[in-house]
Amino acid sequence: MMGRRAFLFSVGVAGPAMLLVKRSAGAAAVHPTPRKGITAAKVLASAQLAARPDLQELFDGIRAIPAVADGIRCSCGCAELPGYYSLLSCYEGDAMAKICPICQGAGRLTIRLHAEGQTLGQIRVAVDAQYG
Amino acid sequence: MPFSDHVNRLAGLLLLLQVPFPAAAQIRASELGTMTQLIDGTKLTVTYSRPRTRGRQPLFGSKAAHWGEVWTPGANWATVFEVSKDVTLNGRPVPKGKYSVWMVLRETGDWTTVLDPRWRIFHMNPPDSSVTQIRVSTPVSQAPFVDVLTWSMPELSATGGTLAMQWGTTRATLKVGVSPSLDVTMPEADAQAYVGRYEYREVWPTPGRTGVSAFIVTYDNKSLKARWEPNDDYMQTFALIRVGPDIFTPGLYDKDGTIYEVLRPDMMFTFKRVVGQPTTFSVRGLSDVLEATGTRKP
Repeated sequence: MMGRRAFLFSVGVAGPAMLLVKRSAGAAAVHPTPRKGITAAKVLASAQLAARPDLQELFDGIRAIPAVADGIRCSCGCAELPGYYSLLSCYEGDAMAKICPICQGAGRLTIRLHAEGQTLGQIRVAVDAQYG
Repeated sequence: MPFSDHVNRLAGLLLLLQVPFPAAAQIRASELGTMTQLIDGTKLTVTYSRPRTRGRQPLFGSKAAHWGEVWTPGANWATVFEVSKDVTLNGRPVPKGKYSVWMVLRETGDWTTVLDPRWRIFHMNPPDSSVTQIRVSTPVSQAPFVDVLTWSMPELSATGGTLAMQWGTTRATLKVGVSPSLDVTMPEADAQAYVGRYEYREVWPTPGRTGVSAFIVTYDNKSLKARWEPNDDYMQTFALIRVGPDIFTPGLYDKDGTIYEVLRPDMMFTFKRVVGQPTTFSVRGLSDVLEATGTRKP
């Protein structure tokens, strides 16, 4: 049987990553309202991710659903950064999602649940359940 | 004043500004220190100046700290205790906030720890009693010698720990209790729907193994629990803690039956229902990659 411990170590980067968390622990996340007319124009393109080809599909996935990603609050602590608005912000400009496993995981979860037909409200619940 | 005097004064000032004054480069008898501990999202911080014994023995019941004194367990400005969420100290509720810390020293019996919301007080000016203070009976014991007054948390659990102040051979202890961020218990009416036997199938099995095992969900002691057959040495029997609708994360038990680690966000179980009955589940990790699936078996 696969060691569950090995599985956890294979994904176990959350500990250090969660050290980034700055929000008051235990506080319920307040998700942002998607901005009217928001687009994915600032989401990094594949050419800007040449050093991280493994992330291109993820960024492409977020690019396809800007209005959904804009309604999710990321829990890694980047919400405290100036200029940050939503999970979409994690994939723009300096793009913390290039290095942060929480931004990446929340992005993948959002993309998957949206593809499954879940509403923004349901996606928020799932994001809070895992990363809240 | 003649212009030349102005020039001379300015020159003198400029000379002074060039003298290197490293910030706070000053020898103190009691240097400033901090102790910080995070427990399930509650942050405790003790900020205090740390006196040394400097050969003074005994410390308590002497000129350093006499019996009956209302003494701050530190030096200079009063020791400050800050908590980010409500806690209990030796069972007494302490709302989140910032407090100066005082101890009423007694030769026999427990001391009394006094927390005063007026936290910026010099040690020579202990506050009078007031209704805003929180008073906590505090056991004192003998311990191996420590030269520098030290606040620490020598014992920790998922729900709290022991906050200790020690100086010389005297140790005062406060049991800290924090509010749990997750409820490990679950009403039986909700839990019974998940109870049963599942076939657990790993997506990435260890080479040479099938990656298929039995996954048993039970309800015990007001908690939903799970284990594999054959048993997993690391996980053992663990709590399935509900963190969302049909979404669970494992909580690992120590030998005393206390949760010591919760695997959120690294291991998430999401059940799917068919006609209201949880029938399958998926297991995903931090990156939302599918690691395993489960299917209910008769």
